[in-house]
Amino acid sequence: MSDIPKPSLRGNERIPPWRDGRIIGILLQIVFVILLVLSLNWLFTNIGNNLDALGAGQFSCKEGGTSYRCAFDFLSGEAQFPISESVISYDPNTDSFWRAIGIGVLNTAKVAVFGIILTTILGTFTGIARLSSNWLIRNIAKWYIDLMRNTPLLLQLFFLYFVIFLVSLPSVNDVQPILGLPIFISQRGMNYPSLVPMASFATWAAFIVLGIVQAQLIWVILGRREEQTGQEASRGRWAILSFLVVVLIGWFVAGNNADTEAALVSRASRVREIGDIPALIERRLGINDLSNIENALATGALTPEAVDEAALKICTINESASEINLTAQLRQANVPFDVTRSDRPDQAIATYAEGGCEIFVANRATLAAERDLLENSADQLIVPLPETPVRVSVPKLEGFNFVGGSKLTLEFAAILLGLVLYTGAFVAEIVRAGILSVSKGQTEAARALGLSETQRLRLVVLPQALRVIIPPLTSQYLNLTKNSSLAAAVLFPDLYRNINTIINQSGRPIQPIVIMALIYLSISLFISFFLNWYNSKIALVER
Amino acid sequence: MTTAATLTKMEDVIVCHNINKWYGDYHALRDVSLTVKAGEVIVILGPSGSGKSTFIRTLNRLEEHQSGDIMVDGITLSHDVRNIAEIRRDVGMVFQQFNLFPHLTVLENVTLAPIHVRKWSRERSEEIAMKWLTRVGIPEQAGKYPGQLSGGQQQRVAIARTLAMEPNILLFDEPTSALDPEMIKEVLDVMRDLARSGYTILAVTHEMGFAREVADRVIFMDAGQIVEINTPEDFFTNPKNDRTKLFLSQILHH
Repeated sequence: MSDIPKPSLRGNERIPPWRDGRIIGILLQIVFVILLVLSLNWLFTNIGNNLDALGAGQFSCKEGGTSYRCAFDFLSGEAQFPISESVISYDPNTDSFWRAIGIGVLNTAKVAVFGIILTTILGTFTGIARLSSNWLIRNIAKWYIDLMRNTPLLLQLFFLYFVIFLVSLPSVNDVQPILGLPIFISQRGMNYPSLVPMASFATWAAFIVLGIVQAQLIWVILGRREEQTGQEASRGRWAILSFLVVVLIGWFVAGNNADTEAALVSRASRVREIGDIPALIERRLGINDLSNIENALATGALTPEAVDEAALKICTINESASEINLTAQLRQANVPFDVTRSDRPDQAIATYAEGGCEIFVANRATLAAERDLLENSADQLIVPLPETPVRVSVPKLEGFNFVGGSKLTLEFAAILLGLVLYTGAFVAEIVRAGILSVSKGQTEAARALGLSETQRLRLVVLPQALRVIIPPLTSQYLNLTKNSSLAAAVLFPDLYRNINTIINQSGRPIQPIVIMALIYLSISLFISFFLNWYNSKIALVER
Repeated sequence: MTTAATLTKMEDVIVCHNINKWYGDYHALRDVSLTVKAGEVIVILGPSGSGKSTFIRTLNRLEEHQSGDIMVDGITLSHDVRNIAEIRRDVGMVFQQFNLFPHLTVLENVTLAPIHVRKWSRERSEEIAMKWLTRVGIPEQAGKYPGQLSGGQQQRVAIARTLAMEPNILLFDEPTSALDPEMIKEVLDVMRDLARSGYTILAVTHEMGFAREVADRVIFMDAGQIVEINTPEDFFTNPKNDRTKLFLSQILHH
């Protein structure tokens, strides 16, 4: 036993400092801090020097003869440049640069929010399609992804906007309704009907809230009964039914009790309620049913000019709900009409007084006030008009522009569609990877239990894939948000484009760029924080 | 020509006639024929790669067979997705790797298929789920996630999940092979209990004790073929086939 050699010990001598991991770590950190301080010093010295070279004007304001240092004051000045679309009101002559920035933020947010939602939907379906057992679906998805991933986004945006939209869409003069519906797609964008809340909408909304509360109550009560008797009480059906009944009752109650909508007509017109209007127009046209107008025009019994002549002449105030309330009802009765809009009530009543129209619609209070200004006010009647909580506003081509309804501009459509198609391809690959990361055993277990293929995806595979998908998906959401700054290329007034205009307008680049950077940073951080929170919420529970 | 249909009698719940399956050029199942009566417990033995797992996985269409007839519970297994869905509702399967859904709690794992496939109410499904979790001995784990359980507990949850669909036929695909030795017993105890409760069971396993104790018939497969079908006593004491003898000598003498 004694001839076994003693194991020789190595590595227990004192460690020289250049091999000591602890000392190496500290040294590296010191070197890093020194380099950082030096670079920052260099950067700030340069900024200072360059700003001096630009002149003191960048950071000074003048008031009378004195000038003082200021940074952001100039942004309170009038913007003086037009913005083609905005979610909030904007007047270049009175509104400030700040408001222009705010509009940019809202437009960017609009692109980001809709973009993220649509990208998620497109990416998920394409990712699933990429794994389909159907050859055609699988390959369409593959080609779409490869086409989008391998061409630059800017090129795609240009192509979408200048080639597909501006070349292939009809001009506004040739525009035709789509499928016979009042939807028009032209080089001006897409005009489509919109729902406009009337004065009685608030009452109806209260009924809707009541309906929700009642449905909840019924759900709970029937649930208790189900527990007691053990019999299914189909509580979902009853809850929905009760909700619909309350909402329907509310619709009529709110509409019938509303008396804000009215029209001003002369006593001589013989119009005492809305039901008298079709008869009036029928007499003018010499036909006994307005639904025959189309036929009469087709056979030549009536000329378009005659119809225009006989049309009901309406005066109204710009963007008023009253116009939509009346025209929606006239359209239903097939009454031809012609609207003259004024900016202010006094202009509208002046047109009315001059005989520019035969009926003036507005709310009752406005009409009463304006009528008193007329000389022959005793001969003018205020006729109440029926109202429903919501009316449909339909786009109508007047001259070269559409009036009424809502509008989706080509610029917004181009940037949104471009970003969604582009980012969707990347999301599809992420979704595919996520699905593939779920083990085959999960699919087999789901199938063996009898789950259908959609149930398998929805209940078993996608919830697990989500955990793998979320982190890279966050990056794609951020990419989409930041890429929305390419909106400038298709003339959509997003944050980047408005900031650029402000720089050109004011000649002061530094402050707007700092503001823009901070805003993009805040939006991105918000998205990251939200998705990180979501990711931690759905994390798998392990031992 | 005899088809599965003509062979079927009332009590035959599974009828397989000349099943063949290929993976590319590899012939995985060769003319496998077998008829199983209601309530029978069948243990399938064989060396690895002999096609035993593939065989029971064709019975609920996790694997597609390319020729031959399969009839389960009187339903012909073909490309008809409605038939496949119907068969899967009646046939439960327990896997080697448990395959529990890690994002769902134990209770949610067990109630998922009853709620979404059987369309039973949540209350009823949970009642049934708790009944089976109690039967396999782990009702207190209902609120936990699979990742928080031991392997043996997970496999018992998987068995409860299968049973909650109230199937007539149970397929076990090496249910104890992924377990630590001390956990095998708890799962085998549950399987023994089920074998005595009247289920029709086809089990691929290496547990010879289980085969000897509860099997009505033992099937030995090799190279994609059924080589021997025998009673457990005769199979272990008096095997007929040379390949069976070799297999038994290898596993019993080591």
